[in-house]
Amino acid sequence: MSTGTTAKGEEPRSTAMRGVARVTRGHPVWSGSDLDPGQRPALRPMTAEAVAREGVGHTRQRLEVLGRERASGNWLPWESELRDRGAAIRRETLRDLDGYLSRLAAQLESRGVIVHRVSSAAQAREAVGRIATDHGVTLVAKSKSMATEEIGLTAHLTTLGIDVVETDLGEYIAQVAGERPSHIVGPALHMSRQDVTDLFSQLNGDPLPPDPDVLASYARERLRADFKAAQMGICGVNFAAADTGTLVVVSNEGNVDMVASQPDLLVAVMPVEKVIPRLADIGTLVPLLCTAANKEFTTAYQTLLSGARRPGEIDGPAEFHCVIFDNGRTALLGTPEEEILACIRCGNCQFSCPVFRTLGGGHAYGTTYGGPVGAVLSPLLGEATRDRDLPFLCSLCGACADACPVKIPLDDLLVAGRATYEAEQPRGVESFGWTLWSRFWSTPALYRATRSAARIAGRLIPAGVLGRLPVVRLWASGRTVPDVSHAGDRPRGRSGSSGGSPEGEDR
Amino acid sequence: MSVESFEARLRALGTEVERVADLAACRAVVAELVGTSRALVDEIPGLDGLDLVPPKDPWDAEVGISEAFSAAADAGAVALVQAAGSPRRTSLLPPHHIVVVRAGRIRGTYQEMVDDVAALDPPPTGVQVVSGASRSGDIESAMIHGMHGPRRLTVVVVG
Ligand code: SF4
Repeated sequence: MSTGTTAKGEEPRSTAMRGVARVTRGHPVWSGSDLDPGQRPALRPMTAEAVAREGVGHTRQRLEVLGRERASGNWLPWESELRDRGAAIRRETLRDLDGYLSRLAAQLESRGVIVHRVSSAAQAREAVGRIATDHGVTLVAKSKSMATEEIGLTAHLTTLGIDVVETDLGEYIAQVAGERPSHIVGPALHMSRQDVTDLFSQLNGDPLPPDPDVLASYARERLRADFKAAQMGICGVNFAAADTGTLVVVSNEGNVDMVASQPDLLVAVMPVEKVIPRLADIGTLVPLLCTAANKEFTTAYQTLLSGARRPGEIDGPAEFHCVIFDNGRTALLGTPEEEILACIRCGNCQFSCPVFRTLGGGHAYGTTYGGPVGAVLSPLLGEATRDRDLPFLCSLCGACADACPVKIPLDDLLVAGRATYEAEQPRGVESFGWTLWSRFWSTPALYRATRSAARIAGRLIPAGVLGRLPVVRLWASGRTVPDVSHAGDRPRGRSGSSGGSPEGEDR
Repeated sequence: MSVESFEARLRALGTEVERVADLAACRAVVAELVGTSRALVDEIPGLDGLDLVPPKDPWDAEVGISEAFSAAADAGAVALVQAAGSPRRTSLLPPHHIVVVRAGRIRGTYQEMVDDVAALDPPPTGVQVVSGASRSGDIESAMIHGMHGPRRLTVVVVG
């Protein structure tokens, strides 16, 4: 199958990535695909840059529309039933994750699939790298997979001298731009039609018209050459059925089927929680995923893979590997955080989230997964020492939990994540301040003393100055310093309050 | 009942539907749809004797013809089992895909179709469930047809 377009004896190289050196990359460091895990900038400057970015207003508008269309949190009766069943199947899996994984591995092996069960992200990417180098692979056609993003697979294979090409249109757009996917399901959602036109025109070296059909055809022809020439395919997994050893991948474009059937070598990459008890469960989980992700009953394709090519078959992988990695997940079992392992990666919580929409997508979370699911999951992955502050990218509105098809209490997990973060912080000035405050306000006399002090301070120091004092400044950035000159007075009704502070008062 | 709702659902997804009484009529419809196009044809019991032109390179095929193992009315979906006589390329490489579905194979629900597939022992190396033509909404949600797979899908219901 890997005859390719190259001359005999020549190593196949990517056609789709030709001209990528012509693309000028102006994106911020935190949206780049080369951002080292755990090396993201501090949350505050990163998010400030994101909300001020040129063109973010248009992205926000598009996300608002998608949010209204999809993530309303209102489930029709038949959808609610599906949701109940899906949530139950995912919890059933988590109750015996290891048992189902063992069954899955045994089934896969009995069908000739070579299974690699590894712990860390590094081990996972190295396992795939070894398979590629053992076979002298120079060109890999890849279908969309957040798991491969998480383990930094493309960057690793590239350092081994291998061309890796993303074949999902959105993912290809992101790859050419040098960016990470900005949404779990829509990797290039942050880009406008014009952005894609400019990008592909640079890649092409000649202007292309801003017509989605033309742009897609351009990508199709280039990617088709790579499907044909690739010696190895890499795909992700949506569901892995333990009873039959079947890997299930959903897609709309048909690239998964290409990647999983035309190259002679296939590697499927999955984190442990993708396992499900029975193949029959996709009768619930596929419509639930597709309804939540895209408001469609099913995608155009569901690709079921149960082993390597058998005698007489003329396509499908001759050699089939499955890499199953953990990266911190099984440590969550038995804790309240294990709930996040029920996630089926529909991306609906992302659309539902006002913080995600305001930031113009998931890049400004500085991690593989953005939005509510990312703010919960990212801090728990790996050695669980990074990105612990992400739960603060949340308004606690609770929309994500309503939008989640498998009923993960995302809002509770975000609150818990904040508490964990606080508990982990060294006791600094702020906590000393709170201790002092609770000491003072515990007795009436001291409470009255603070009130008088505040009034005097409020009259002596103008509010503008107050907000610039050393400790207060930290607290006051992003907040409005209240007028304290009447501190402790009984409220006089909304309209009665005159002489509002120049800084403005709470609405 | 479910044949009618299957057809309605297919049409709603932009899939062309032909309804024929028997295999002889099916052969005639397929022959007409294919014309002189280069075709990849799976082994379909009862549908032999089609006089079609094979492509030199499968990547240059213009039409592919396969038979559904099972189908679901509510999803407008067909399940194709991949095996020796039915490779994956047939439904994938050509821009036009024709699927023959026997009426008796049509189930009411996606779940019933999945149950049919899950009951296969041993599981086939590959099953492709198809619901509509290849599509993408990755450029500002504008719908693009025939992204990597077929742009045109025709289902011929027999019986
Ligand atoms: S947490 Fe729920 S809503 Fe968010 S991606 Fe996962 S399944 Fe979807």
